[in-house]
This record gives sequence, structure tokens and C-alpha cells, in this order.
Amino acid sequence: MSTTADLVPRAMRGDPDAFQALIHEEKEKLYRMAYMYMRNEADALEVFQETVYKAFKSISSLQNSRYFSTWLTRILINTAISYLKKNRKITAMSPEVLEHIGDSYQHQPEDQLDLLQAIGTLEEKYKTVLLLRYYKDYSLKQIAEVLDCPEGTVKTNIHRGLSVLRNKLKGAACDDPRDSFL
Amino acid sequence: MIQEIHSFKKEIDHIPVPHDKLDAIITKTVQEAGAGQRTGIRKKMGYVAGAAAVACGLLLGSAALSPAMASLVSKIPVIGSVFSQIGDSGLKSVSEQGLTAAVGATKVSGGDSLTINEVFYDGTRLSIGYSLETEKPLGEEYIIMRTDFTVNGTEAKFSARDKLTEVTPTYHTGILELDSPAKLPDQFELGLNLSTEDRVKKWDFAIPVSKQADNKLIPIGHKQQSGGVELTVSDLVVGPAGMRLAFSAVSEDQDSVDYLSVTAVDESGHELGSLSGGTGSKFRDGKYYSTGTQLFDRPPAGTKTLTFTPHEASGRVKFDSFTVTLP
Repeated sequence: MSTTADLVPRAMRGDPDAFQALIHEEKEKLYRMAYMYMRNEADALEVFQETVYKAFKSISSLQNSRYFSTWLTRILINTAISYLKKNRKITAMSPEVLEHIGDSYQHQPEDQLDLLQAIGTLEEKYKTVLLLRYYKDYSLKQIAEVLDCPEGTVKTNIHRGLSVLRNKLKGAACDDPRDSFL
Repeated sequence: MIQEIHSFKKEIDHIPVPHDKLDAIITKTVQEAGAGQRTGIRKKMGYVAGAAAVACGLLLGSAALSPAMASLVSKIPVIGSVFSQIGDSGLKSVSEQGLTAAVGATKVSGGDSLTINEVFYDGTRLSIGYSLETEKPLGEEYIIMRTDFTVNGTEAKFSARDKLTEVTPTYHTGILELDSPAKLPDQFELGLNLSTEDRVKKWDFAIPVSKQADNKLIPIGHKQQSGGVELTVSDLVVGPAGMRLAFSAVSEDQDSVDYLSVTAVDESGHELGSLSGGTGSKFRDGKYYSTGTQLFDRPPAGTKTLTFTPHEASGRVKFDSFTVTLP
């Protein structure tokens, strides 16, 4: 049975079966990551499809086969965030609709949020680092590589993301988890 | 909080995964992109390679000319041809009817030239056909193209969908589809700034846009209630390149009104393709009010009725289908 280490070089040389096998290994996590951004199946599938297409198209340019998973994750995150940015613009032609978006976040009934809903309402930069840290189990260094930013920025965004999340989850314990998780 | 963070992974792993759909997407994407790769004409999902083949042949043919002549000749086959060849039946139809406006404006940034070939606008669709000629095969900076817009000099926000088709590794054609054109005037100047993801390369255009065709407004006024959601489908606008359905919804649950979509089936059971759509919601007096539109392919000629079925993404709320008679 082929391992990821065997499959990536083959996929980089243009072997579609190897590429498909790699995507099948990652598909569940990729889809769930996409869902956390898009919050509905149709858009999550579209982001997943775009990710597979972009990855297939550019895998030959992957610098180091060891970084396949983080590289793929980066494509998914960029695709999802781009999709969200573009689709948020849909309502902004009319000022009253632009106002909607702000209101809908401001008036979110935070005390009713569960964890996933709360994470879904976080700013993308916080959502992204928390997903990579606590869902993908990436190290600070890996997250910095995926997002192409300094480790200090990653650490700061995890702290701030957790802080915002804590405020959203009213009634939850107020323990500071930061040191435990970093 | 610590306990909740520990359960983070567990909760995400409970998100249901549509395995069949994922498997189909993987197979189809790799097959189609792979088929294109073997012939030197890769294409993106949902588009046919016809335009690519035509433009590719002419572009390669121009390579033996002087650089200036080659650059000039390379533009000729794509001006006005992107819409007719890209695989969108609505745009193909309006292109063939001469309802689109050729632009042919080219800007160069960092050695890469981007040409706006063609524009179509009718109040239901605002579509821009373009081609991109790069010095090197597209790198990661092109995976996501950034877009910014102005209308008559004022910043404007659109949802823009960008579909890029590879002709050769250094030559691509694309369509930018802008949602929500309903509030735009009949004539305006569209400022379009395209840039690579890293914003190193930028192309600025001022594109004169005028309504090229009339559309037909069909009032619907359908209302129904289900699962705590009050849904109103107000009207359907049918244009030569597609049709746009407008709807609104009210609920105490934001997710129930934020992720609505609609399917459309004609009297012979043929489901019309959905080209784009979106919703936005506002919270007021304890409820979320959303408005949305969805753009479909134009129904086949002679279609008498269309049956619409609204859907809510989670499937928790079930809506009844309703039928609209076309005039």
C-alpha cells in the first residue's frame, strides 16, 4: 500500500491516481474545514471543488513533498476566505443591506451559541488559527508556514481568538487556557 | 472553556460529510483537468474547452510574427469570442445575437497583459469576458484574483465569481460574473481593478457599460411558512442570458434564512442550471430578515411553466414547491 510519502512525488510528476489517493486521505478534514468557513453544504462543496482543482493544477510547483498537507490546507483556507469576501460584497450595493451584516453580527444571541456556532462567527484570522491549532493539531511553526506570517502573529491571534471566543460563550468557565494550549 | 476547547475537534468531526458528493467531485475534477492536461488545454469545472482550442490555435499561429504583431494578433481572436465559446449557454446566445459589447482594452502589469474582451449587461446579468497572457505559467499568486469595483467613480461592492479557463499554461480566458446588478443604472462606467493575490500585479480598467437588452419582470408574490421561516418569493426577471429570482425570508433563526437556495424545473422535468446567488440578513426586533437572489440559466424556448423548490441548507426546514406560469 502506498504511503503519503510515496504518493506526493508521483502526484507531482502528474500521476492522477496518486493525486486522487492523496485527496481521498484528506477529504473529510478538508470538507469539514470548508464547512466551518461556509456553514452550508453547497458552498463548502464548491470550496472543496475549487481546492481540488487548484491543487491538481499546481501540485507540480510544490516546493517540498513533505509539506503537501499544509500546502493543501493553505489553498483551502485562501479559497474559502476569498469566497466569503466576494460573497459578502453581494449586499453592499445598497447601504441598508450592508447595514444588515453588521447588525446580524452585533445582535447575535451570544448566550445561545454553542462552540461551533461561536467559532463560525469569529473573524477569519482568529477562526483560521484556531482551526489549524485545535482541529488540525498544527504547531505554531506549521501555522506560521501555512499562513506565511511570523510565529508571534500566530500566537497573538490564537490568544485573541480564544479571548473573543470566551466572551462569546457567556456562562462558560473563565479559566485562561492559553498557556495550556500553546 | 478548557473543556469546550478540548471538545472542539470532536464537535467538528460530527459535521456530516457527504462522501458520495466529495468522491464525485474528486473524480470529475481530476478527470477533466487531467484530460485537458494531456491535450495541452486544461479547463476548469463547468466549462467546455471549445474556446480554448480556437484561441490556442490562433495564438500559437501568431508566435512566428514580430513581438509587436504577435501581441496585436493574439488579441484579435478573443475579442468578442470568450462568451460564445466558454460554455455558458446564456452568454453564448446573447453573443450570437450581437447583444454584447466588445471592449478590447489591454493593460500590462509586471509583463503580464490582461485584456477585457467583452461585456454583457441586461439587468439580470453583468458579465465580463477577459483574457490573460502571462510571461510564465500561472503561479500561486494567480490562484486567487482580487477584484475591486467602482460605478461612475464611486466604490461599489459586488459578489464577483471568476471562472478561469486555461488555453495554454501562459494564456487563459475568463469570465467575471457580478451579482446583484438590479440596482445599477442603464448606463454607467464600471471601474474594475484586478490584482494578483499578493497585489504585486494590478490592472485597472474603466469599462463603459450599457444595458444591451430588455428583460421581462414576472411578479410572483408567493408566500409560505415552514419551520418558523416566513418565505416570500417576490418576482422573476427573465433576460436573454438568464433569469433572476428574488426572494426574502424572516425567522428567529439566522441560519434558516441565511442559506436559502432554490431549484427550478421546467414542465418536462429538466432542472435549470443555477449560475450564482446569495443572501444577506439583518436582525430586527428579535428576528432575522434576509433578502436574496438566484440566477438561473434561461429556460428552453417554449417553456410554459417553471416549478421552484426552495431549500434551506441544513435540511431542517422543508418548503413546498410552487409553479410559475411564464407569459
